Amino acid sequence: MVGLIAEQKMQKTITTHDIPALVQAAREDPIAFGRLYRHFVQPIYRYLYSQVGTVHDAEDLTSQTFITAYESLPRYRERGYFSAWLFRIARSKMIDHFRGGRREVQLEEAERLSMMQDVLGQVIQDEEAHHLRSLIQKLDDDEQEIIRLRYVAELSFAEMGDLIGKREDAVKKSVYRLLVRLKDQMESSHE
Amino acid sequence: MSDFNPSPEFEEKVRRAMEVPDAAPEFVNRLQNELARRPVKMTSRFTLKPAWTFALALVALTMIASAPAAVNALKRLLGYVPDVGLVENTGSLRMLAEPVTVTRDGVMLTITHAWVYQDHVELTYTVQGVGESLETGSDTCGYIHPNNDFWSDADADLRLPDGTIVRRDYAGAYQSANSFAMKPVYAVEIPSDVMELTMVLKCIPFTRIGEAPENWEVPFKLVAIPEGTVIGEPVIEVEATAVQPAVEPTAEATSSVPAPVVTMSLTKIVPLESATLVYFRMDMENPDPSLISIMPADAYLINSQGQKIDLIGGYTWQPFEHRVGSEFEFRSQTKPADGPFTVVVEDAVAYYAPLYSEPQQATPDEMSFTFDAGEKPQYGETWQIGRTIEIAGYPVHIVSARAASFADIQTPDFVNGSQGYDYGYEFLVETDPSAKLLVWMDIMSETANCWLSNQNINIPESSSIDFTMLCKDGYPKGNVRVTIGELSILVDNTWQTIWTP
Repeated sequence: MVGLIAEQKMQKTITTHDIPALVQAAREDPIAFGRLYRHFVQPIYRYLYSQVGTVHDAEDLTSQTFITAYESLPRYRERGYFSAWLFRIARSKMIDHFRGGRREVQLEEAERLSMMQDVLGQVIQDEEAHHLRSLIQKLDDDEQEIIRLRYVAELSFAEMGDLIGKREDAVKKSVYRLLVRLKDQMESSHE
Repeated sequence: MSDFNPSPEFEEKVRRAMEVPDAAPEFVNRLQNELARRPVKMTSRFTLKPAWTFALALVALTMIASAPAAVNALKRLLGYVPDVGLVENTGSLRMLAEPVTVTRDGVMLTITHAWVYQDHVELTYTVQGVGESLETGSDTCGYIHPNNDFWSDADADLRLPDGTIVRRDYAGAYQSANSFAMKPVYAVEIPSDVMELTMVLKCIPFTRIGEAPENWEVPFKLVAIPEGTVIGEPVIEVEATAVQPAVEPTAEATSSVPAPVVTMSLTKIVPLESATLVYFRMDMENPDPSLISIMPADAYLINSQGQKIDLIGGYTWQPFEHRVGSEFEFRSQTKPADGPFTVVVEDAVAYYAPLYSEPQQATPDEMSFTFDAGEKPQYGETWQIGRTIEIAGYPVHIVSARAASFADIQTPDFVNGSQGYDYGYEFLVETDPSAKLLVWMDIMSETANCWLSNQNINIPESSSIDFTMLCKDGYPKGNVRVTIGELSILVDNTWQTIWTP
């Protein structure tokens, strides 16, 4: 029955409210997992790409993330947001990626930066965005992560709060304060 | 840094600056096909209860045979371990064989608990002998705040026998002067034949670099828990039945404000040697979608001899961490006499947060008001606001704003003084006389940093309150925008249910 309800809901765009029913359906019906996958694959991929900077690594980590999620779903604890659980897996895979090949990471870093520049050349149309990106890259790791989760992964404040273990209003304030700082830095650099 | 409402245009600039390409459709389809072909046995789910609470003491574990404890108990292998919490034996549970202590240069690190579940590991370790004050500056090892999900050198890793390093997934911590306990949790499946792990810690959390021994490695052994064994004290799970309030809501029949029907459901009982643990949930019938949490205000039990015994909540008052329907743990101050007892909950607080509910139930504009404070606001200056914002059916009247200072709200509770938050505004807020409210408001200024408030109580006491928000670097000037983040309403009811062993 749950699967049927979830399937009916799938006739329209998936919303946050639909996720619990889809997760429940996916426990009993592997096909239903495909719908969750379709909903989350691009945000997960973009998030991972923004970290590793290469299509190959982003695809590899995205695959690992969803395979782990798929295999772990029967043991998924319904506590908090499914998206936070999924991104937690993605972050874990990414950490393993960097830790597993620390020496290679240094070599890849050059490649990554190089490729990021290529990508930037394609997607950043104006100098202002380029400048803003360089300011974001100067933020510390935690701050960059907040920006990525919000503006690359497009997570809600509540989902971010669940993921990083903070109240959603505190997350919202953190994001907004970062934006204030970035905006101030943008403006002062124009003066 | 100041708070403000970022313009959609600036957010779009950030989004564009961070833009990365989407995954190629070929890859998306290929992975989906691979997942669909993957042979995974879809088993029934289990619900693992959180088993970490903040504590320092070592505990003694008792293994007892599983047996139905009461007629209305559900059959699950759930146990309660003092200072740890609920532990569920899911069939492949391994636990710490014995506590392990390593002492270096007067710093003593002890692994007190380790629980290896099918899909995750929970660890508890304590540190004693570090400096008197625990440091959190940039020249320190780093810190771990409960539930913080950012890693640092202060995070303990797990090393498996094959050399695999696992980083923590969640963390909890308890700290006090020169000792603390950490409770990292690792979302990892440990192979069933692994009976020894190593905790690897680069440096001691909260310590200055170089002031405490670094690069700790603490191996510890595990023992397998036989299937069908309950760890610790047996937990009696109750067939939860929602209890209606014994006292009708106080809102008058003629009142236009909502009279929410809140129910209480007893879920678990854990008889201990010197106390009894009581677990229950609170729910609301047909809640407004902006409802975040229902926090019980007071609870006690009446034992079979008619004695009242207070119940002490084992949680912090964090509504956002206790969403509607989550379970509350209470401990009786003394052990109740044998026989049935009545669990009584008096009053609750319903939290509404339209901006922070999912999906969002209002826009920031709908939850905000502005007033013109002018270019030189003076202490005591008052502005009439006269704006009403409705939240979950409750009218929130913002009557006025007054320029205030830290001296207006100063109490001994502010142990750190004003911390620079010296000037701000006091808002007179009212609702329908039949309801009692508290609010949380933010001054969303692009030029001021506002944070310190006078809201230091949790239970609404009146239909009218003064809410003060103080800022750094003087009064916010010009058009001051204020946003209501939370509304809490007293649910003036009593719930009671009888537990019969």
